[in-house]
Amino acid sequence: MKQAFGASEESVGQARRYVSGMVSDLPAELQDSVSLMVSELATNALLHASGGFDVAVDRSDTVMTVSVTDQGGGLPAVQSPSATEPHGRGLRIVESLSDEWGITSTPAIGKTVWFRMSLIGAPIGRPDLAAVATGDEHGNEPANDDSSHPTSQSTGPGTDRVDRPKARVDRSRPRKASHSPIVRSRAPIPGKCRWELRPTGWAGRLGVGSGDDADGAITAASGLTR
Amino acid sequence: MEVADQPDVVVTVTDDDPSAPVIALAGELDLSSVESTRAGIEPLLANRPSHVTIDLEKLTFMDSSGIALLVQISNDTGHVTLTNVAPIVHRVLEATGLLEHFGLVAGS
Repeated sequence: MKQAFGASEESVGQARRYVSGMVSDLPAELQDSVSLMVSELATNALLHASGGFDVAVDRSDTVMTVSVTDQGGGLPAVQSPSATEPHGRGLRIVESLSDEWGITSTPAIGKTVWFRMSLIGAPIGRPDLAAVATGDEHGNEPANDDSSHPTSQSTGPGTDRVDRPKARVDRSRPRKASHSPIVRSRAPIPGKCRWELRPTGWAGRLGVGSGDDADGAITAASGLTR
Repeated sequence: MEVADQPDVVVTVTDDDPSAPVIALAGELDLSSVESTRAGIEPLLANRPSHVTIDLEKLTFMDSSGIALLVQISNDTGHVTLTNVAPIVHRVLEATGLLEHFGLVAGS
């Protein structure tokens, strides 16, 4: 299911209601989280890209993925505003409430920011989400958990995939693919975030822009979101 | 005294004490309604009250746009207390780590 929304502020509420209509059977807390995250991603799309955005919802019995695509460049980043800083909390909310989220960026074309929620025994899963939310004040420091990220040492920014035959860098992590793609327990922050950059032209051939979640894109994109 | 009746958020003063006003918000507070809501609230803060109470009983949705407004009100005044916070608003305050920043009370 996919729908386009225009470049007006009213699109935020319209996108929210569009997705809400597809989750009305889920527990209230899950509905609330989904509404909040859709609102944040729609807001970011309107504020940081020109034009409207598309919202896609992919729901199965066990998992739901919501994607918001715009034509904007740059990569949004989780920020850590102080309590008196008004802005900079949009992606933090997504980071906090989602089971998993990520960014797929295709320079000169646009980007998709998505989040995923497990629907397996949704009420049972709530304590895990609560743990994520309450632990969020730990901020967005790069995780020192190389042991749990077997790929992280070989995926530094701009250092790999130079000889990759295709001008496309797929950041999907083996650790995600080796088991259920749904992250139910709290991942090391910002381990919930996956991002994927699909360079074109010279950037793709050189591997420019590739990197692990906290190491490259998020640092480079600091200040692009609110 | 109704101050502003916007399509998305209604701003109502339930106590016009200039040093500690009580303001009620109703509706959905997001990107599309935040500026009109701000316009409705700012005149009430002209005296720089040291304490503002915002009743959110009828606020059915708020995202980071609304958070930005609340933080600015908090910055411009002494202290903001939120009352009757709906679960979804509580959720966004919790997700942003701002539950402690605002004083929350269950009733008005």
